[in-house]
Amino acid sequence: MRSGRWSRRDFLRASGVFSGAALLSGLMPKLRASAAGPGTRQLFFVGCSQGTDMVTWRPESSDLVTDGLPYQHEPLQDYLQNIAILDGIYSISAVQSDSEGMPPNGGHEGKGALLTGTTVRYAGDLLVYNGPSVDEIIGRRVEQHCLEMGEIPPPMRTLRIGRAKGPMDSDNAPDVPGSNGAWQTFFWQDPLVSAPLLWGPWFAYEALFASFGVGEDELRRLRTKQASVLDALTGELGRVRGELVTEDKDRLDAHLEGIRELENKLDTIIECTPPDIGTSPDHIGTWSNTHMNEVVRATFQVVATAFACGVTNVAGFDVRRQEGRGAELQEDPEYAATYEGVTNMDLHGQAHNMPVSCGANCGSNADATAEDRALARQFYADLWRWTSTRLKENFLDAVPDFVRDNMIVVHASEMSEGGTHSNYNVPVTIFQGDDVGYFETGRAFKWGAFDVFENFRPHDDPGQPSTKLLVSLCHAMGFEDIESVGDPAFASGPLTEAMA
Amino acid sequence: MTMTTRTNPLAPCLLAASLVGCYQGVDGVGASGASETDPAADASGDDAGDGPNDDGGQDDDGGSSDTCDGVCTGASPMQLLRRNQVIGIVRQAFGADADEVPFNLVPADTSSGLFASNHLPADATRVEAYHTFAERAAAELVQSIGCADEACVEEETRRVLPILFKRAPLEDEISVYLGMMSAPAEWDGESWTIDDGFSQVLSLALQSPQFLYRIEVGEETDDPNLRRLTGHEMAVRLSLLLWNESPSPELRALAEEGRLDDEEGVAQVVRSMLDDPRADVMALDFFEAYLGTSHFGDHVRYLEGSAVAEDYPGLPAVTSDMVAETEAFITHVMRNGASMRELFAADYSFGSEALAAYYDVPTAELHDNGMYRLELSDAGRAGVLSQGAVVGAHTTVEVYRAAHRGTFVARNVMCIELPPPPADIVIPEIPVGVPPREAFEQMTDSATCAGCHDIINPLGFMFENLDAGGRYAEVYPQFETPIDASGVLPTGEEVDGVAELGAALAENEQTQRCFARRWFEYALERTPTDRDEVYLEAAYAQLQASDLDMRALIVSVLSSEAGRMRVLPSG
Repeated sequence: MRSGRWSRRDFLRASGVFSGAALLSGLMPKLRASAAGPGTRQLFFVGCSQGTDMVTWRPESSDLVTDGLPYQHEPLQDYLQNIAILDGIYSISAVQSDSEGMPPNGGHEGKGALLTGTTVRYAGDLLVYNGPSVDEIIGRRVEQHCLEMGEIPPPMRTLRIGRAKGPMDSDNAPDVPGSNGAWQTFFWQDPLVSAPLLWGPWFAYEALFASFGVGEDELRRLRTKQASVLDALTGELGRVRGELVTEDKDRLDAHLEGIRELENKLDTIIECTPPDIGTSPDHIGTWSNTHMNEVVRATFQVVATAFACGVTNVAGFDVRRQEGRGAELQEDPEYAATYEGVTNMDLHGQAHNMPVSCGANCGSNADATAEDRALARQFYADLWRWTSTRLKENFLDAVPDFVRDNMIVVHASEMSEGGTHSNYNVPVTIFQGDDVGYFETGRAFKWGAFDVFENFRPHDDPGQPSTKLLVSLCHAMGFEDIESVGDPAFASGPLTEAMA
Repeated sequence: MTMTTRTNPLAPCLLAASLVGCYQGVDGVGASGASETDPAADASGDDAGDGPNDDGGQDDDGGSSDTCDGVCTGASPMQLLRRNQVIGIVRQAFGADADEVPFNLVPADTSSGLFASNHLPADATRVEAYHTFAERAAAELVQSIGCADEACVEEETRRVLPILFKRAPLEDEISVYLGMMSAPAEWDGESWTIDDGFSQVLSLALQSPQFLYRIEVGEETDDPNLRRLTGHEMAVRLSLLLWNESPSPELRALAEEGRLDDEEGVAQVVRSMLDDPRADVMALDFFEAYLGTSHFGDHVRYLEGSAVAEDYPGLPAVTSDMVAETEAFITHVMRNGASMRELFAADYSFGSEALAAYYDVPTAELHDNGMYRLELSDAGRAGVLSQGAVVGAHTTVEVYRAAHRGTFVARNVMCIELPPPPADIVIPEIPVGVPPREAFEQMTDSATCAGCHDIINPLGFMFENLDAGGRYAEVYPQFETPIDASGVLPTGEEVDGVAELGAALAENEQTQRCFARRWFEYALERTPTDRDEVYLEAAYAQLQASDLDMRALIVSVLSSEAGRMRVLPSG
């Protein structure tokens, strides 16, 4: 596992931000909770392609406490007071996309539209967006803010992890820079340019933490060295203080307080000791969703550690491809029995089985039986629920308190019901840490009027535009001067209806 | 193009009325436009201390006493070194070995008015930034120096500590540092190398308060809140300010000899230090802030990315030449008589052939600074205010350019305090089909705007012949109408064009007083208070007596009681 071709040091050096013995200070957790704001909060976007079963995703009312969490959110019960379910977001830039051959509705192309706030367009033969996506915008602003404050920016502007172990295991569609078209990725680095993804969690682990391989011991030694310097510095400050006039002692005391905070940070550095994420499966297909169980667990662990170590303030991950060929949930013991014997778990095909009454959207699956449809609905509901479980166990429970308290997680899809390919009423669930205080949590928000089986059509009452959500995420991360994300012709300003 | 100045007999009335009326309708803002220490208020006949906001001698920093008998000067807190000083001392200490040091990690300065300063206490973020810089710098320095044994480390430590500390360290202090060469008691590693130990020594030194702060304890005086700087502390103050360096052995020797203990001694040393080329960095640093040229890069990037970029086709190729022009000009003026008059009104500049062509001015001989002397006599330009980097730093889209340029001259050069525009102001639409000057006059002719814009606009319009790219024109190219660059200074002189403006400002009392004030702010890293009026007056008098020699002004400020004393902040 640790014989990687690209060490963490090499990786960060290549980023131009790393130099030798400063390892520890460069990785210090962001502990400035008392001054939470730009540069101190962290955002994790978890995408789930191809929508879900909106019937069991949607809350009954806005009162989650009385109603209880909907089936798909139940694993997050421990974090109920931190959850906001946004039932009524429509991807405004997706529904206004009009790519050739597509209805006025982005369908799968809604992935890029959701996070960039721009409509799909052609660049040559490739469908692209006029990005960047909101994660990139926030990552840049964090970087800029840190530099303005005289701080070192996080070593990585954004940490985006793909599924594959490496380019050779990629089913001809590797998650590598520049290879993603509009319907393949949420993340866009610049207009027309999709964002590079690290080749799966094991590669990300190598890149970020390989020099920790000897791991904890090395980390402790670095901590010892820096603590020794700070200890000597404290002694020197004391000696100098004795020589000063009274009026200057306050200034040195303020400096000393800063040293003590620094020492406290060193004490917490153990929090970013990388976990054992196991070894990579021999083959991971980016198109097939194979080993989803291991990939998602490992990815969440890597992001949790990266956040704890201050490696980045912004992360993104797409849990699954919409074109899956594998029997994903069969890999998880909790669900294995339900799907035992099911051999054709084609996600895309299953999605088109979803409509209860098929109508015009059933396409090639018009002949699906009622049992097929029921299984498809159950499958999608369980996929989202399973992701909620992973999110809780491998991420929310795994990060240190100071990270969780200053963090926002967005779990969303580019479409609502996979069978309708609709970009209206896309599912968005938000986790917000205790110290963020931006969104009103512990409740659901219900906007617009929907029939989950017919909502691909233009609406008179579509709910809240996604671009407002993007602005709100910027504001929640401390960048309140951002007034619009994406095409300014779409709705601007924050999602005030969901603010605390 | 002739440069004449004419006096408007109504000028003092205009100034007073304008300031009081600045943005009328916003409670209190207009009246505070001229503070009790504002030279503009003095010029309008308001004696310092009589203003409605006068605190009877107490200033924000605290002061020594309510009365001002004997030595009176504003309070000065202990300060962290400026960023440039941190960098300068590290370079001084380590020479070429510092080439790989990541100086970009040195935290930025806070500011005190126009100038960089670090008058605020260090918070946790800043302390962490210094720590990170120290760790990274130490790692690089250890590699560059390449000590193979402890003797080398000790020799280096003994060599650099006096430079970093700005004084000779005590043997006990050196021992503490040498002790860092040993592994910490908690160390559980297999080996502890020379590099490990050396990096510990350097990391500690580079984040030591003795390096990062300018510590001035001073000697007690009859006034418990007033300290007289020791000769050594004076050497540190002068060396940091004038050279961005730690005192040299020679300067320390002068301090030891008592040559920095009195006004004449300090004056003599300052004159000598100003003669040294190392003082160039101080002049460039001062003028970058005074002229606001640090904004020039932003302006060029804006223009290059804007819809009007094609209107300035030659600009990208000469932007670095423009920066070099101003630096070379300032360096030349400071080294050759340091005349404020020449600074503002010189009929020459320096630049490349490309810049000369861009300006459409003739070149003369190649100067020893490697640039051509540019002849400006008949070009409608004169002095530093007409240079591309200065004009460009205060320029935005054509219609608004007068506002930026006028505000710059009013605030930076004439010390007229202008409040920010009211928050609820509705900016009028830009009139269509109207030349920039006329358009901007229309936009600002309301009673709400007139208070300040009666001052700003005329000053800004005097630059009107220079477009956003710094090119001279007598006709608005898009309108084919003649450019009117005439106006009246707040102090009454009628001026036509930027060349006349420079000449007028150089002779203008308010500008000269403001110039003295700016140097005081820069040199002492604080805003002068009422108590400093006597020193400002002396500095101004010295400037006049020396026929506008800027170096005489600097000498006056630094050798004055204000320059040699320290008032404790909470006295």
